[in-house]
Amino acid sequence: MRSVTRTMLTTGAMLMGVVAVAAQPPQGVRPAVLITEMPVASVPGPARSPQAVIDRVLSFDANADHRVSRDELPERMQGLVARGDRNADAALDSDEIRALMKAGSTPPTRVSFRSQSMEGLRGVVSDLRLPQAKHVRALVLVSGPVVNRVPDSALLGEMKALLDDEEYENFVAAATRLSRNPQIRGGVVGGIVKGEFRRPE
Amino acid sequence: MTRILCGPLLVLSFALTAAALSPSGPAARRTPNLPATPYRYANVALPAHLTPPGQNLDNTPADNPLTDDGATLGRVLFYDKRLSANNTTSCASCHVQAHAFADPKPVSRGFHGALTDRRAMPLVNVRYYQRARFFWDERAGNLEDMVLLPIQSRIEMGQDLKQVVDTLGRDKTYEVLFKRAFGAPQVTEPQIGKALAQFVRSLVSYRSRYDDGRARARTAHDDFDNFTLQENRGKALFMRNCSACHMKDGNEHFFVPTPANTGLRGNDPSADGGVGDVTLRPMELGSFKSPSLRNVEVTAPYGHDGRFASLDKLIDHYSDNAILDPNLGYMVPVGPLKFTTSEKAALIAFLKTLTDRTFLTDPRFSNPFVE
Repeated sequence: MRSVTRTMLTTGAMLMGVVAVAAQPPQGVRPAVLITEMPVASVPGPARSPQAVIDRVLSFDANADHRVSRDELPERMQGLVARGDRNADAALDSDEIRALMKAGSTPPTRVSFRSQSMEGLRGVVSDLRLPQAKHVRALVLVSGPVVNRVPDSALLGEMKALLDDEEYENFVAAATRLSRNPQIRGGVVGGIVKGEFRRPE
Repeated sequence: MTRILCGPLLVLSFALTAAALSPSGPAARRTPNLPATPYRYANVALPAHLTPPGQNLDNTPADNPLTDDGATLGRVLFYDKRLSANNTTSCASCHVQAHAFADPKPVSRGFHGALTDRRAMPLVNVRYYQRARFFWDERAGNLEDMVLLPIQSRIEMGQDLKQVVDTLGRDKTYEVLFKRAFGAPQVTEPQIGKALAQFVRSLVSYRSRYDDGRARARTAHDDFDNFTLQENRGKALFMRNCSACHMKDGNEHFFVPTPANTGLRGNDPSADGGVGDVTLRPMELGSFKSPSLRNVEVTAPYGHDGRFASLDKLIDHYSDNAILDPNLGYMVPVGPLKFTTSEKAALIAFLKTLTDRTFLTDPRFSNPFVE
């Protein structure tokens, strides 16, 4: 249900984004930001396993007694002992660390950030801040039926003829960044979904 | 003649050194130079772009509103070395005004010269960090508690709060300052925290060249009339590649609103785990809070461990480095940005427009113990 709600919110926001784009004057185009909640568990890896955290905390066990005492921990982590020491031995063992992890296991609602351009290569050209005549000519070159097209060899050749070396290098770098972003490549117009911040306990 | 003078001068020099190092030395007892009418800290009018309608980023709690007298007391406490066990270290020893209240050293040193784990963060527009969590690992849940922790740290200032209360309670200057700030002359631990927090919240930067240009621009994305072509190009690059995190929702305090993993931990399980070391959430190992980018020009070296000596090196990290952290992507799902040399120069030119010289030299924030 929650994911359905989230999808609806995202879709709604994207539609709002489309409306917003349509309402914008041509000179006012600017990058949109797509902010979506990212399912934390979707990216696997050994560093995300509970054991990695237990190993991390016990790595401070200087006297190898399989417990980590307050003094063995860096100051910034000493609060863990006060939070998790269940048997009052002024130290944490692996069970107590695991319990601490469980107590704090509710993942915070987090947001991830993706920037994307609604203007595709036109935005790339705009960012170059070229002299007016060159700017207009470059805009004509990159405009076409597919706004977010990846520059092909013909376009690159035309741009190389138009721009000086530094401008051309910057154009290629920005166009490459643009083409690496699949959302931009797909021509998806973004909206904004607000995330909630977890307030301090 | 020289020989005659050398002896007494040496003796005087030793005496001054001993006095300065002594816990009860004159350096520890100096009286702060304060204006007859307190400086204005409360109700400072910020430009419209820092207070957009519908956004409340202010983390000031209802029970500790910012007042001129409270922040004045906080300023004196901030610079008072008697808050450390051996009278050598104040908050300002690591939070240096000329460096936007950051430590210019890669890793901060405590009152005995021992190294801490990290460098002191810049204190810029902290009031507008909406999450109201503090330190690189966000282990402190409010500013009033946070400011008391370095005082009690065995490495940083090594002082017992009861000792601070006792020492300051015998100082007539503080009697007056506490009475003005809180209505009673008694020095208490919570009020030390509140006053310091008020001073820290007063450290708001809003008079940079960016702010000057922004005041006449329709949006942050438009070219600013006081910027060079390179600065406007850098701004455009920033807006396209960096603003999604550093200006979320158009926030021009330039905070990343939550901790982020930018690949600083790499694949090293023994490296500082940041937020994950506090929350014990596996996916948060390697995440760190980011300071505001305002005044970033003067807050080098960068990163929690000061590993980036310059803005150039910092941008190189995002531009060129292969980042191996397995948790990367949790918050910053971007690959190397591959900026050209010209783009890097433009980005740095733009970042330097965020420098606020008035903030860095503002007498309201300066050391009141300087003669």
